[in-house]
Amino acid sequence: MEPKEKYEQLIEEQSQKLKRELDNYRVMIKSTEILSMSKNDLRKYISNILENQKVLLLLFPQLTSSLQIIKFFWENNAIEIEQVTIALNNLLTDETVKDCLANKEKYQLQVKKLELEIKELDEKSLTAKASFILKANITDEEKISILKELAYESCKNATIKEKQKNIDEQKKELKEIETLFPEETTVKVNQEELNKLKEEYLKIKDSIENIISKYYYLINGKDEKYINYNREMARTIKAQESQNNLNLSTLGIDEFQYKDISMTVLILDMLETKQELELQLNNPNITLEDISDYLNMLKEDYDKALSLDAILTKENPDEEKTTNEIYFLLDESNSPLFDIDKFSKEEKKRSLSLVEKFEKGVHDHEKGKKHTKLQSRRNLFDIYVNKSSNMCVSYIRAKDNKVLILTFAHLNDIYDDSNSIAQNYSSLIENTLKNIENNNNFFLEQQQEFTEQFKVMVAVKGDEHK
Amino acid sequence: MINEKLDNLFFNIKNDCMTLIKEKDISLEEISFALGISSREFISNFQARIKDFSFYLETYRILIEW
Repeated sequence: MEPKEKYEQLIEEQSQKLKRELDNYRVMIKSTEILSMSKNDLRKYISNILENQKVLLLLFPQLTSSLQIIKFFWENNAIEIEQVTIALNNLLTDETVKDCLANKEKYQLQVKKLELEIKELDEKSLTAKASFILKANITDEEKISILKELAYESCKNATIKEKQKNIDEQKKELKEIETLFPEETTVKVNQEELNKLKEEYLKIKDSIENIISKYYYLINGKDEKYINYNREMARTIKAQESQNNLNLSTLGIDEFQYKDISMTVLILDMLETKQELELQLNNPNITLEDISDYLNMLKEDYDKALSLDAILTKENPDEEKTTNEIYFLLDESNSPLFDIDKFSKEEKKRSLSLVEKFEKGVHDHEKGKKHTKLQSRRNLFDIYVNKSSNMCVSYIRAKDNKVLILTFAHLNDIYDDSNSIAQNYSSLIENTLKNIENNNNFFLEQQQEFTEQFKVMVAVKGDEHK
Repeated sequence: MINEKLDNLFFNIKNDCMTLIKEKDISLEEISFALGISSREFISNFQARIKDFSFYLETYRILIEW
């Protein structure tokens, strides 16, 4: 049964139970009312008792004979007879009846309590729901799965409420602020403050122009639609950030995987903001607030662009090609994480040429094919991919241009294979990289042994390798 | 609100990308390799909008410059 269904079933059961109890108490209270009515009007009194005799008999079955007597003489118009008086007396002196009459107030309190409990069952508060579940007579597992479901529902509802609350609060605040500032006609701007802001801007103006021209190629002459899509996306995502939205269904611009896009957006933004700021500075009708806002936006973008610039330049190091040593990622039993025997003759040939490519120091990534690099945020390492026809090799670049081969695979499988290796064998990779750096003798021997094995495995009879 | 806007944008970019792929006769393997992902991931990214919107812009950019 789904947790939500189970929860609803429990609530229903509890509700029914409480309602039954409530009914019981109400019946008892009603009986006490009937029996404690004034006897001044005997006819009325007896008529009332007889009307409700079913209820009275349910509660006090021992009164059957007394009630029968009363009924008999009532039907025969003889209620003044002594036997009726005795019967009535018996009703009121019965022990259970006396108890009931004495506890009337208690019952009334219980009714109030039950009514409150039933109301609380409908309560939307998460704490009330949670404590109900914790007390319920179900397994711990069931408790946990229901509580999880409730928490999730509550979060969803909370964000919607929060959103509306925030919007309402903002509207209220705006109204309050507006009343504080009645229409100002000609207000002289504080010249000193303005000059401070101008100075601030001039300090960073050059650096901003530098970074804009460095990355101007990202937008120069680009398709108009493409530029507009970038703007639209940026605008929408920024709107989310400004609302302090708890909804994390989209990533922020500086969290993008495709960093070129982040930079494109930043450049577009900075150009726009810079233009606006410069306009404002020359505008006689400026407000200090506006200028300060634009300046801050510009600074924010510039800071982000700087950090992004650092990341982007790190990706294309101009390394001196010193060695072209090749290593393979091997597990504890000295086996690679790929199975060369699965490949066809052609594919084995290709694998060998991929290794020869490394010996020549060729890396596809450096040819400007920017995405011959594994795009996965979860990777601790930068993993590159070289391609030869439909075969690929994924590898990590160590210092001195050394290469650690992770695996060989088809074009279609290389990303998934490499990603799983990177995640499942991250400590093996780390250790291997350390061994490579330390020039560990034992490690080097193993590698040499395997490299020779590998060349044998991929060598195909009768073929010539260029 | 935000989600709707991004969904609309996703819808538009998706259509443009599909048109370009057809027009230029680009294989899914080639385009996904250029993006650094498997073609399986490429397909699933276009079936439902992913959190990282830069993917769609990068795809569009590569396609128009193909």
